[in-house]
Amino acid sequence: MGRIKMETRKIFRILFNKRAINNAVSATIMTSVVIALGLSVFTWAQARSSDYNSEFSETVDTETAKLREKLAFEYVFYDGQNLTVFLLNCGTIDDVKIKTVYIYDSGSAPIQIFSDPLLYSFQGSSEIPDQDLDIQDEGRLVLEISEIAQDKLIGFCNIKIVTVRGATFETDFVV
Amino acid sequence: MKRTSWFKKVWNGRSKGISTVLGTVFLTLVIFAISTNVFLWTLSRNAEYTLAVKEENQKTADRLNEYVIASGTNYSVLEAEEKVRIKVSLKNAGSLAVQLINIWVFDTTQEKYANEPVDVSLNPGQAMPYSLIVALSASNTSDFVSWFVTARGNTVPLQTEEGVIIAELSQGIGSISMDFPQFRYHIYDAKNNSLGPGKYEFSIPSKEDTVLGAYLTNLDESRNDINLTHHSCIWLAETDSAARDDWSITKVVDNAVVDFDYKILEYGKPTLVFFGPTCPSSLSGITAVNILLYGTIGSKDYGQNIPFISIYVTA
Repeated sequence: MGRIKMETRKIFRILFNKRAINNAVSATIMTSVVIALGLSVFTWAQARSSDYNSEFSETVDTETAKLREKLAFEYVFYDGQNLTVFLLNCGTIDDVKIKTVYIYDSGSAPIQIFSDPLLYSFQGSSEIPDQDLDIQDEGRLVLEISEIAQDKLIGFCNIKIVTVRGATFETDFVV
Repeated sequence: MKRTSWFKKVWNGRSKGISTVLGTVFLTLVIFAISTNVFLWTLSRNAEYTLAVKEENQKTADRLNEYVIASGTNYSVLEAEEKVRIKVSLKNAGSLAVQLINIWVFDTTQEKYANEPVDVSLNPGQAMPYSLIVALSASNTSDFVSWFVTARGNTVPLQTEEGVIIAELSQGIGSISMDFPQFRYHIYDAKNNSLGPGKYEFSIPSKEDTVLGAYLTNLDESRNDINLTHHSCIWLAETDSAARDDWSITKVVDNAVVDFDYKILEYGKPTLVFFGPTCPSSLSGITAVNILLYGTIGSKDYGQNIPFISIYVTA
């Protein structure tokens, strides 16, 4: 009888004496919170760093590609109406696309801007199908100069070509 | 009092502060791992970019070090075929192999241009003559400016300085120049109608028949052919007396003198012209020599005297 009493008291103590359990539970909760918080911080930081990595990677790739672009002006000819520009891709990267062409007068003021001008094959009058220049490809731009620009296109002029990758190439020509 | 270690305390269930420590360690590890990862990755990308910059710098240096000399350019206009023949001497004076991929020819008189793909590779130090024909409708009066384009994107102008200097000189003294070191005389054997070996001297014997030879080059500005007629001759005049003698223009075929009809001097082409045979028996000592040339240049009359030689006539 006395033994049963003792056991009952023991069970009662286990069930209702919370002093030690409180410590364990609080420690578990704290650890879980810390781990959860740590994991979330880690995930967030990882995501941010991944974003940064991909942005930086993109920048480096773009800059490297831009660096590898090189266009040489073989000849610039003006017949009074059209300005024909003969180009050679002497860089180390394919797919050089021309985005914009700027024509400047002798006072370095822009007189006409051409967006996405058509690229023609070097010989003949056919357009280059993919409108880009691969390594060692030659192409020709035929730029129709407007009447207003024709009056300003006198003397020592300048042409600037900007590619899709952002590289710029320029040369002077005399009208 | 014995101090209990932190590990023993934790082992015995006294975990006060453990979460703080764990959290700090964990966060430090996270920060360290991520920053190291980003740093190393950035470093590797930077290295890639630096390598690309290095390569491009090398290419730019190569481009700047390309040095090809295209000199002695000669243009011949083939009017009937509407083509221009270009002869040029190429020399790679740089330290890199060079590939020429295109030639541009610009007729500055008519403001026309043409280009032709070429495929010429030159090793460092290599020199070679090169000729090609470009489809361009030009005339004999056309002036040309040309350049090659290399695979690295450089342009190599075809130089004609020598021609310009000579042409300028020819404006003053006429359209024909003479190659002085190539002036020679031959002893003529009248019996066998044959010429002896050429002697590149400016003294000739007075007692023998001699045939005089000189390389003449047509440098006419309009690039027309010069047609010399039988009136052309070499005339020797003694300084101390009134003694004179002349060597009429002649033709030599297979080392034998043949009847003279005409002699064409093509533009820019040195042509050997013979005079004689004559035995200058009346001459002795130093004589003034005049090469008297007469004929047509294109469709116009042409006459020129080259008076720059003196010959010593030996007994």
